[in-house]
Amino acid sequence: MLNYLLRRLLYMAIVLLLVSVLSFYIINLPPGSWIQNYALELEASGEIVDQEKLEFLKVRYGLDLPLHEQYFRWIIPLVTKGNFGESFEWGQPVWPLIEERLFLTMTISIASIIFIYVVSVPIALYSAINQYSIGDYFFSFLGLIGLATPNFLIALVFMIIMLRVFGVTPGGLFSPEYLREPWSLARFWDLLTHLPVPVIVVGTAGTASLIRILRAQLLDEFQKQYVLTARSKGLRERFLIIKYPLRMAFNPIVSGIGSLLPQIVSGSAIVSIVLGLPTTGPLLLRALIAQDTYAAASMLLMLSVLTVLGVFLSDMLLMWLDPRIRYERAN
Amino acid sequence: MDDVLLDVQDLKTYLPLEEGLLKAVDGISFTIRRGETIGLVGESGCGKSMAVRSIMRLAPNFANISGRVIYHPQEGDPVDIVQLDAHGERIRDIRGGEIAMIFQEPMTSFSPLHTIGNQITEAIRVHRTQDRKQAHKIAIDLLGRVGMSNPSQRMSEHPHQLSGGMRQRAMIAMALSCEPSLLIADEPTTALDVTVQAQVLQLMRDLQDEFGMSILYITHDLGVIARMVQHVAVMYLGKIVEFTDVDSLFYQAKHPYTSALIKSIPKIGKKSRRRLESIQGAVPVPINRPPGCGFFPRCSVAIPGLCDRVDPPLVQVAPRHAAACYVYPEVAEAANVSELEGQGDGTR
Amino acid sequence: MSTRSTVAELTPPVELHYEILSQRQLIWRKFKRHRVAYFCMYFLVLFYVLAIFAEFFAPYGPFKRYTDYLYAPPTPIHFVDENGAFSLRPFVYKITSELDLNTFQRAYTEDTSEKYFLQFFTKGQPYRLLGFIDTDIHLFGVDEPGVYFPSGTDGLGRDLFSRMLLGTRTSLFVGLMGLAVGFALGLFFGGLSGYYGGGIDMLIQRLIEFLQSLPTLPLWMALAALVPPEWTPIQVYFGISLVLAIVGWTGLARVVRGKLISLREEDYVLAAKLSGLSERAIITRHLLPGFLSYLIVHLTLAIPHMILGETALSFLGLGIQPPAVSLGTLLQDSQNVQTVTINPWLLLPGGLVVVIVIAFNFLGDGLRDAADPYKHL
Repeated sequence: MLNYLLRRLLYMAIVLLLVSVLSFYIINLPPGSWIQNYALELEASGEIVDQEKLEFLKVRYGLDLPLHEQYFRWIIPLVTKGNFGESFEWGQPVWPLIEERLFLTMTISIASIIFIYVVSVPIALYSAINQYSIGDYFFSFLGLIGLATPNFLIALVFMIIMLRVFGVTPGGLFSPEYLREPWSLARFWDLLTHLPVPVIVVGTAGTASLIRILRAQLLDEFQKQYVLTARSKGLRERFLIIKYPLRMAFNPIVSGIGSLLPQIVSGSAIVSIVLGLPTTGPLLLRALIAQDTYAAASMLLMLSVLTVLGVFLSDMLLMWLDPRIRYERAN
Repeated sequence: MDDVLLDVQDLKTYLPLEEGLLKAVDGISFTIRRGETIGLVGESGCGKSMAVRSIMRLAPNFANISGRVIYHPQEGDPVDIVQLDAHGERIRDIRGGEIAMIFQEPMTSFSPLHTIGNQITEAIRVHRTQDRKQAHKIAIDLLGRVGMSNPSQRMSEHPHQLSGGMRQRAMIAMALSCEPSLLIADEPTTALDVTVQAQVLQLMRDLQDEFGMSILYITHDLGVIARMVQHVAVMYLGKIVEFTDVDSLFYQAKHPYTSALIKSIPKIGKKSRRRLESIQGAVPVPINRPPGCGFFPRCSVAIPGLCDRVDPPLVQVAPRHAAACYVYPEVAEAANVSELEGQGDGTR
Repeated sequence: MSTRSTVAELTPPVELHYEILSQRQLIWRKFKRHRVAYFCMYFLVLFYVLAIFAEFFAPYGPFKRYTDYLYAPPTPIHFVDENGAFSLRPFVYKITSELDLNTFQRAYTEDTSEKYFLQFFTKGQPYRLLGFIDTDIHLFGVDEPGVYFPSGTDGLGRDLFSRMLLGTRTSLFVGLMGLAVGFALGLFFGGLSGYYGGGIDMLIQRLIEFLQSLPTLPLWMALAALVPPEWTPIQVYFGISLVLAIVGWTGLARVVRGKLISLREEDYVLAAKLSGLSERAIITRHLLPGFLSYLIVHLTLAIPHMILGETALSFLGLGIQPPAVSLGTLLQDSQNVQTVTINPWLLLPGGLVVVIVIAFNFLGDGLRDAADPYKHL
């Protein structure tokens, strides 16, 4: 058991190392560099390009070094001191820039996952028990639309409705008075009141697909022999459905968190861009376009850390839930 | 007829499918007496499993069940199971409590996520006692009686930790946990090795002596029938085509299907070099079945113009021996086909 | 009637009430019973036809600007004129615009004094059909100076309907391209993994797990940022397909591997091996037919993912770049909420995406049910 845990942790470390190398490499793959982009931008806005300043920045950010040395300049302080380096674009350390945004990304992601489960489990259960009923068709149809509509379109439609019906532009995660405040209970509460719109938008696709998966899973489980056995023992229908098929269907749900999490993080990125939320999404997009290597790589890495951790936790939960898996891994 | 336990009369289970009406069980009748063992034999797909599921009211929700299944409990009035609400209280009392069932696949019959103990005590707590500790004790005792070593440890194990034979023993323990008066065994040994099969069969006979319950034994294995049962009903395409005691079945089979079935058993002996006989053709799909005897297309003694028009009824053709085939004049007489022959409109 | 048939009538053959159908016939039969999926199949075929001959079905060229008609709403089409007279031929009125000096919005009104009948197979802007047939025939249109914009115009006064047709072409075929590349990758890695097993399998499985644990969109974003800005639209188009494929092949590889492994253990494969069939024959005659249907189902369900991916990327400005037209780039115009709120028809390309994706999903579902024709018998 301990052996398995250790192997698992080691594996996670390797994955994250690979992510760091890969993202660093990919970001630098496009021709040009941040310095060139910066110079072009200055030129475009009609400012005089100060060659000396460019040279200074180049040396300061290590952009004159070969790529692998740049990588080590970034990763070594990161691993040893937890120092994420400096953003070229912003001219300040990366961590304070992304700290709150990462927290907000995580909050939205977790809230979305909770939303998805809370909404889809009862609906799937209802649909599976009342297969081919009007309600089942209704939810199936709704789910299909939710699945087929791109996240950003849902976000747009939401905003249009808000603007047309209520005359307000939704967006942001805080009321203006809390925007630059330090964290407090009141500020956190303010955040919670702003969550529903992004969470619903981010969670729609996930909810739709989970309802589909879970409904099919439950219908499958209803056909299993052990359900018949349970019925032949004289158990109450409601009791046995909860005790057996639903319990069985929970395993794929839990292991589904692993695949859901990357989806959610992606979804929240694009929704944030449309809704203008202060999460990592918009910043990452800008950093990628500007080739702000340290900022972009750090964000990609941290997002991967979040997902890999989530997958790990869901795996542990699954092991706790399913004796077969426990048995397999113990040996 | 005083100690009848279960009286099945003209039981029909029709399944309306997209492809048409599936007459899975098409009017079967038989009775089971207390302490008796009845066998129900037939090829796969003949409707034997659907028949017993209908008796337990475990057929799919959309199935149309008609006929009568009169159950005579030890105490109280007889009930017609067909008339009960399939999710009601009375049928739930009967299931597990008075009629218990064991299934073919010991692997899938248990939930893999719950312990053996949990799944056995659950039945006990529904029917016998609310007390958790007492239920636990009963379960341990039962596991011991079905021959499982170290029963108290087995209680906390999961199904995948047991072998196939052990799982089926646990299944039997679970079925017997509430001392039912009828045990329905749906091919309980088909998935097991031959040696384990013999052990499980022996166990069931011993337990029957001990508990005194009746057994309805469903199988396609004539060898098992010979060892286990007193009376046999042979099913073909949703109907019982022959009903007799086990000796007559093997030595004086009346229905051509039964004879063909018995001929297809491999024999050890002088003539063992002979090619194994098989019944020509396959069982037709019982959806939108044409009128007439279901065995007609495969039968060697079929009478064209009669067998393919009117379904032969099950009629007594010898003492305590019923068959549904027109080669016996009694059957033709009972069906009144002598008048019909001229008309040929094929009504049933 | 010939004598032969009379003889046949006298001794009717024993009628067997079951037919033997091949696997393919069974699948097709079952699929046809799934009405919605069957309908969606024809619907998608229609869409592909519309997309391939987009220039013919479009009344205007996709880049033709009508500067008098910026953000013009969809032109209403009439059968009954202002005097209540019915005309079998549909017509449109002349559209006049007025600039509201307070809001700087253009207000478009119908001028009932002039009407233009809808013409079919009318001459319009010249174009090249299928890339080699020079012609100027369009399916429908109205005579100049009348205008007919079925879905309104965008901020530059271009006909949205014509652009949507062209955009559909891009998006539908980017999906197919991405699928083809992803399919090749998935088949290759999945096949390798499932067939050889052991160390190779381990390695590929880890690789897949690794790719699947990455958040898709940032990965897409990072990869799409790779596509150099100076590339031609065609190159970008291939680049984006490639990006979609690189992220999307893992699911397919898993399906292929899983299926191969389970099939290898089937009794009939063992039987084929024991009877001395060659490896190659086993793969082509026994394994491939076994999972071809699953593969097709999976492919059908993968296309909408590709389309959604393209749309999202192009919407963010990382995918197909204007002036090239795709459903995603068309939606770029609706990034500004104020604009969309005033000109809601700009969201029509989004609706089109939804419809196409739903159709693919239904088709995939129908195929999936049909792929296992014995399942519900």
